[in-house]
Amino acid sequence: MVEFRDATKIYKDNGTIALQNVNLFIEQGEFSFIVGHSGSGKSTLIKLLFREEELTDGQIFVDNINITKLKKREVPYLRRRMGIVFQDFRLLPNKTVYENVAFAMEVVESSHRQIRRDVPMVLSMVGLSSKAKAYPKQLSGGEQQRTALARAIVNKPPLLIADEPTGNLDPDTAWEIMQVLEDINNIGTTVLIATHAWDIVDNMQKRVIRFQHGNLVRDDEESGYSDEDPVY
Amino acid sequence: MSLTSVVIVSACLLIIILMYCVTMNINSMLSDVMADFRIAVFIDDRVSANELSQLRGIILEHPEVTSVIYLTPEENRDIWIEERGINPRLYELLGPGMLRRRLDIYIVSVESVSGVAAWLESPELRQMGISNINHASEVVEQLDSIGRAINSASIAIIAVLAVLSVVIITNTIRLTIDGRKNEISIMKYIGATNQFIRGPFVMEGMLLGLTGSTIAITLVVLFYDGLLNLIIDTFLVNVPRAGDMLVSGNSLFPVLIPAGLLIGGLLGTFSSIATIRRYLDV
Ligand SMILES: Nc1ncnc2c1ncn2[C@@H]1O[C@H](COP(=O)(O)OP(=O)(O)OP(=O)(O)O)[C@@H](O)[C@H]1O
Ligand SMILES: [Mg+2]
Repeated sequence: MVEFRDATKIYKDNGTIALQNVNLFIEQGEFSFIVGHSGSGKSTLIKLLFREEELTDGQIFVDNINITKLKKREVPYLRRRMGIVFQDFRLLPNKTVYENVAFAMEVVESSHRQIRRDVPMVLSMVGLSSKAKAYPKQLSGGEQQRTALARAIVNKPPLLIADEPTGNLDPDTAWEIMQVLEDINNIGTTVLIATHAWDIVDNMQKRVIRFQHGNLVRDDEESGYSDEDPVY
Repeated sequence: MSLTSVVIVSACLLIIILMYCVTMNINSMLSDVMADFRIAVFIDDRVSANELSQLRGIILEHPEVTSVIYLTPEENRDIWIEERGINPRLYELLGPGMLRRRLDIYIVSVESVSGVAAWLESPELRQMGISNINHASEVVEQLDSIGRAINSASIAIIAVLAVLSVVIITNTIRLTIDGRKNEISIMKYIGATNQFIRGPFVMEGMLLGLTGSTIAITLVVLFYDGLLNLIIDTFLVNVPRAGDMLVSGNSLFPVLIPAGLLIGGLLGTFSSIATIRRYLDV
């Protein structure tokens, strides 16, 4: 599903080597965490996947497509193959929960019929059916992130990537969001999460990919965050 | 699209259209005056009919001469009486010697008047029987250059106002883009194509241009003929046929309305496309 081949990212403006010679393979349907200290390159890896940043050297494949070779006007179609979730939710404040989710379908030019059918379905999946008419500012952080998750999966992408999706949430709410992400993974979506939340990583017992100063230093199936070499 | 920007764009386009109307009217007046322009050549009485027709042929061959019309002494007299208002009795007093044959020479454009006149006054042609020439080349050339100056001035003013409209539309679109930065970045994350993101802004610019030109054109259509009559009654009372020399709304609008809308729409569209290219990284 996702493959990094000798991927190196150097930020040109300050010469920072954010990722160095990364080789990584993620199977379709996998649930993996990206962990590491602040500044170790987690966000960079996520940004490279949706082509917010471009690779300096090496190659990245998503769904067998070499995304390092995509032209600028092809990038929107790459992004339609993935749902993207951020720490700060990034909802449209002047749209309701329903409209925020429907907007993602309007952007890809889905029919009204499809929208009316799919939005309620995905809202019920993330447990937000009762809040469909609420505006983001009327929602708790957890509810806002559920809305963002609904928006990310409503177009049924094969891949969901998230950068610190629980970073703004209290531990209980964070755990609930992780459960939703697991549900999303259970319907077949490949899920890749960059996170600091070591307690959650420990509890989930999923694949953990650890970075240190831009290098991939550990890659463990079904491990915890702090197995050996604890970072906190 | 704020009310202010609509008002300013309409005002710019209104002035552009008014400049166009003024120029059209001045051009129409000048060309009306100059349409009658010809060089009158008086023929020596000793020239025979044969020699005259030979002379006429030579003049006609000049590349800048379009036609040569022969007038008998009597026709010549009638024209003097009619056009200049000269008392018919004056001619009788002066006797038939005053009445000469005449060739009216029409030329391609008033620019060539000096050249053709100089050629007609050259010794060779004089020898062929031209006794004297009557033309008002200075006046006509001056009118012609005034006309040109007015045309260039109005093109300059129109260009300045067009640039001003572009600036206003550009700023309006920029404000809209700034207000929607957040929405645009979200649209990008969820895979919106460039066209999808740009579309609304291009539409807004086009709509602003079209609204502005519609307002301007409506005002002109409503008040043009009234204004024209007011000008005729106030300033041109003593000018014969002033109404015919000016351009009426009926003959102006069939071009003005579609052209105005097109220009408004194009200005709006191009301004917004230019703004998007500069301020919207998509
Ligand atoms: N746009 C940028 N321009 C220049 N340098 C950058 C840019 N973004 C990140 N970096 C640098 O690249 C390195 C990796 O940053 P990155 O954001 O990927 O880290 P991270 O693992 O996500 O950290 P955190 O846990 O704090 O979010 C850091 O040294 C950072 O300063
Ligand atoms: Mg980060």
